[in-house]
Amino acid sequence: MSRIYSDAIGVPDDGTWPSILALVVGLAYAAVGMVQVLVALGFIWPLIGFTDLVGGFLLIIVAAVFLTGVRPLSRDEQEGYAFIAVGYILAAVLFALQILVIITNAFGWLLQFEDWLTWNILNDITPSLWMFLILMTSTGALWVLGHLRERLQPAPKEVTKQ
Amino acid sequence: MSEQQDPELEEESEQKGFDPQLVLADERYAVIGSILCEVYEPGDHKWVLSDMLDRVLLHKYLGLPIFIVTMWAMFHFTFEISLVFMEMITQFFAWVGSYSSQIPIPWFASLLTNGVLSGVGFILTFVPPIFFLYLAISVLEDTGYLSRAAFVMDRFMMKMGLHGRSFIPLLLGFGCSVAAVMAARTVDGESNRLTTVLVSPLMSCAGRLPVYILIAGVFFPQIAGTIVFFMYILGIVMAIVVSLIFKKTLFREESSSLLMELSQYQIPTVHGSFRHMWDRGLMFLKTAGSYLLVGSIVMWFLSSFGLGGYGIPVDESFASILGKLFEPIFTPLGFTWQIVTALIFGFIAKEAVIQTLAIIYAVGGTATLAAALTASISPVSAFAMMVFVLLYVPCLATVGAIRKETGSWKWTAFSIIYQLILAYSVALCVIFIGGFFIV
Repeated sequence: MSRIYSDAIGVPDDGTWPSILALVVGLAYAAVGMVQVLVALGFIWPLIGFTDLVGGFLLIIVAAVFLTGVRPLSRDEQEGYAFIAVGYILAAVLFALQILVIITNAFGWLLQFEDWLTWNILNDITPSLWMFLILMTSTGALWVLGHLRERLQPAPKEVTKQ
Repeated sequence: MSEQQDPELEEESEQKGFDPQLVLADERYAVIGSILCEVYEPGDHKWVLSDMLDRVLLHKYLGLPIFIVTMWAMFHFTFEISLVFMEMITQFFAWVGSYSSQIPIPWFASLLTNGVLSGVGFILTFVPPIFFLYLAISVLEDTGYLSRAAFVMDRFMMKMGLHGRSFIPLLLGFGCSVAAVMAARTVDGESNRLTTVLVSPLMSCAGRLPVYILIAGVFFPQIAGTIVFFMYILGIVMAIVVSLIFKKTLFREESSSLLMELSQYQIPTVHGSFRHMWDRGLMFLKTAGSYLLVGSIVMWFLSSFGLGGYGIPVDESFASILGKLFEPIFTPLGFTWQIVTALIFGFIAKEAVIQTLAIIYAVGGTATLAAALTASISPVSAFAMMVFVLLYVPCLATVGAIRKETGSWKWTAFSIIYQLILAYSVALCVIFIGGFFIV
């Protein structure tokens, strides 16, 4: 099934850099997820936004999706891009969900409902939120750098036959 | 191509140890493939993307964890997002109640305020989570992921010797148990079908959601969304465990393979998803406006009247007499007579559990249902109550559907009895085990 998606989604032929990206993102999500689990279980000093145990496990699952894609990508198999795509989708779902939670909580706070009087936005800034922001920012930066590199490279000289 | 299995093919398959259905499917798809090669030119981007997503979403090891993430996201969305809207409806009915309580005729003021508004009004505060749950299910259905979920679970269920197709009706049980029981007719094999009919009510339907939201919100506010999610997972786990027990004891039919067409993934339309949400949610509103309204008047009567007539303390009401009759059975679970009465009325519909509690405590003069509950039961008993509500008979309509689908009063009675025993046993386990973890 190698390279079946390459034409459709325009992925690079060399999977080295994408595999490094999947590895780094996967390890980052795994590390943050582990910290969240340990904080929630009380093994580490409390951190704001790290209190949800299940949230930590979910980040570890997202990490597992990215990390599973590392091997096929390093072997230059295009199937690995599917793992990156699904990893991004899962991370985006968790991010969007947290944004909706913040919006509705802010709504309750603005309406001065009793249960929202002590609401603090800092408690809703969870790792699933800022990890996705970091992920998208770094992906965007890599994309821009990639395009700049292509543009800055000298155009191949046309060889004309005399 | 004939739907009947070729006897030669079946014999050959048996000799080679293959599943005849799989061999037949392979043959069928080989023919389809050869026709497609002649008439269809592949390369459509949409199919490529769908195919690509299936590589991961149906992955041998990642499929199930991804399904769990999706489930969690669905219930977190349902619970967390709806809280503020629930509060708005609560405030609205509190405002209406402040006027209705001033009606000069005391019994009529009590009927409107403590009966109708505390009963139907309170149950209507759960409209937002029920609508959001239906919206989430609609989105998952419209994307094409829900059928994949059945496929992912099939592998897990097949390993346990269960029929994979059974999971499709079970998934429908998230919406309504009646639909789940009726969908069991698609399952092959009499005993497989019967197993599915019997375990479908264990899946958590939308009618149970108000109970979870209330109890989780009152007793476990920090992890309420996770608790609701856990209850749905527990429903799936119990359905699988009970299926397995039935398979080993009552029904010993061989499991067959799951063959299903997986459609392409689609981006759901806003109109389509909201339309589905509205159509399904409307049923809940009709229920609230019809028999839950009648039920709230009956419940108010039972809570306000007793052997001494109208105006007696709620502890001497007919509702109290009914609850206290069965209270000793539930004493090990820590349930008070109010909860026992609510559970009895829950036989009619699960929404009636919360409705009954709201009316009994309102007639009794307690300020809020949350305050009354925290004062009367412990967190571990509250958790046991959620488990009991999850596992005992969903509603009378489901009992009717089971009778219709099985065509037997024996199996219908068996379904009611085993669910009651299961609910009581698991709730008791929660009390024993949970006592170590929950104060």
